[in-house]
Amino acid sequence: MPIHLNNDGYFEIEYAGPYAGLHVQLPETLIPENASPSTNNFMFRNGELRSRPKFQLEFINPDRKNPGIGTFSFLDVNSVWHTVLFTASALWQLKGNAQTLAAQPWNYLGGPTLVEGNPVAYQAFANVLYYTNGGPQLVSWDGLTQIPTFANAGAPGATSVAAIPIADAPTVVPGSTGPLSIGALYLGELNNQILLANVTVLDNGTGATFQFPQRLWWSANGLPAQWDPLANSSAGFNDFLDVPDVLTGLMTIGVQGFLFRSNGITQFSVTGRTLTPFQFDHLWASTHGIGNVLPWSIAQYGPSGFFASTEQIYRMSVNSFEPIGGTARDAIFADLAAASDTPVGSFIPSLGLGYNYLLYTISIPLGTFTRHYQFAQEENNWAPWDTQGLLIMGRPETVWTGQLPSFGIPGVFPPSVSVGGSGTSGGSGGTGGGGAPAHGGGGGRPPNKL
Amino acid sequence: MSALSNGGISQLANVALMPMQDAITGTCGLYAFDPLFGFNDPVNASTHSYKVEEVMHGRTPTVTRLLVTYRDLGIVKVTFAFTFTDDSGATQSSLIEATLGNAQQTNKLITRILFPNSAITGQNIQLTVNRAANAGSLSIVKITICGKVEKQEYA
Repeated sequence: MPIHLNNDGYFEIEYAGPYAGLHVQLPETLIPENASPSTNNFMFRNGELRSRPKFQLEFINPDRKNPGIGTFSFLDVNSVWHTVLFTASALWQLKGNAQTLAAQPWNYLGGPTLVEGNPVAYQAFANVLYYTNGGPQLVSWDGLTQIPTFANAGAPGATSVAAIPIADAPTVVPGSTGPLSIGALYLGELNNQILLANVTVLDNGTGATFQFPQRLWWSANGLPAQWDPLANSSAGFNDFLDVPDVLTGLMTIGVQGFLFRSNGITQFSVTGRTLTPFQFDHLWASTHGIGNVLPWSIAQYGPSGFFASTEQIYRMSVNSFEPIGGTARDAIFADLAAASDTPVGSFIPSLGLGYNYLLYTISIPLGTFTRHYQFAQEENNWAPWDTQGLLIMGRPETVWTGQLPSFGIPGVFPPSVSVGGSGTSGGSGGTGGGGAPAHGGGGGRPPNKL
Repeated sequence: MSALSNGGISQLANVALMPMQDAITGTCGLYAFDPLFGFNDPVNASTHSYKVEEVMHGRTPTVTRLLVTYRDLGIVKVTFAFTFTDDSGATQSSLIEATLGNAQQTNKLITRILFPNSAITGQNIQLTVNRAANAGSLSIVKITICGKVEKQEYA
């Protein structure tokens, strides 16, 4: 019992972890002792109530006029990692290791203009980065060329990797002249086929734009530059006209795919057949139902997927749905209702290399600040963290940064981890090595903190 | 044979980058909640309220001391705020300000006993821990509220 009450009236009330996090679903007198009716900028990791990590500017933006709308790391064919940043005006690449805040750390790569304000959907496939964000283009960069690719040799005149040549355009999209350039809001991969969901098509011949918000379009098997079903029968598309809503997201888990709609979810699986590579099953096609109402709330970590429906936050696996809003649900949805811009979801396994903290985060811009609701995957609690004066503009992503020599604060170690040198944990001067062997050579960042 | 890569980086470190924009100046940058920079955010304060305690329903307890066990992450200034109500329906508060930790952080668990500066006698007692922005890194392991409550049976 957290309250000890003696016969003489003496009492003690104990508060200790592990913590249950934010709890707004009961009166403050009825919640458990390890819960909180109001908390901000604390975290509950490992049973301690700790002020959250410093929110640190890591890299200045290359483009002052266009905020970053996404970032990602991918491996090229030479086994070289590239960390890229998307802005509405271009694709940028982190110059290399040892970047500091004093200098502009990004190299300009270019590429087409993206849709301002839309987070970017990206996918690495066969050592090539593919990305799109609602405009009529799918762009690729292989990490080798000087600029990204947004053309297709099989469809001259098109301005997208996903394209249809003039000869086939009127058949594929009736009323068009072609060539056609295809893009989408959401991007994924299954069965060695690139997937585009909620499709936008530009008729380069006439300048007309066609919107297909209920369409999933897939490339040919193993051929991410082939999108023409008349040229390769394993490419194709499907319009979900039998449901009352539009596609709001895409996720693949194992051999299953999930197409999210605002009022439902459509599961699809690989058939192994060329002409009909996917079988689609609406988990439900009701007018109202569990779906993804916040297009960018979807996040995934291995077999776990997360999304926000009208009434709940869900964690899903290939065969289950689990509500996780729990005791914080009403607070989250009150802030979602007041969002001043697009909320985004993300999943990060660690806050830094060696500092594991599995968090699904919903970042909600609220006028003058952003509130990040952090769901601890292992401890099943919610912790809101605010970042005053800063507004989220894109999806957070864990990326490789190379050596960062500007970091110089000594680490804090778990008691069971020995510290090289002084024999005292912590200490000054970054002598410790016991806590962070994974960093490898170079020594730039200090040992990780507990 | 593949062409040479265009740039690239090594896998020495990773962080979860967040594209952010300053709400006033419009300046953009990539930020991270970075534990390697410590747990003392210079811009954002931290606050955590515990359950509202009745102790005994309808009775009026008095808090006499507060036991705090924390991990020493360096010096941190903390305010332990008690709020409570009285029979007239008014809400009152009493603050205990404390400086915890050592200049040379030890990472050890340390226990402090704190006493109220003014009487904390009231119903529906709630403890809130406040850490101002840039006040230091705070990590609490256990808190115990001690006090007395009258147990005279109602007639």
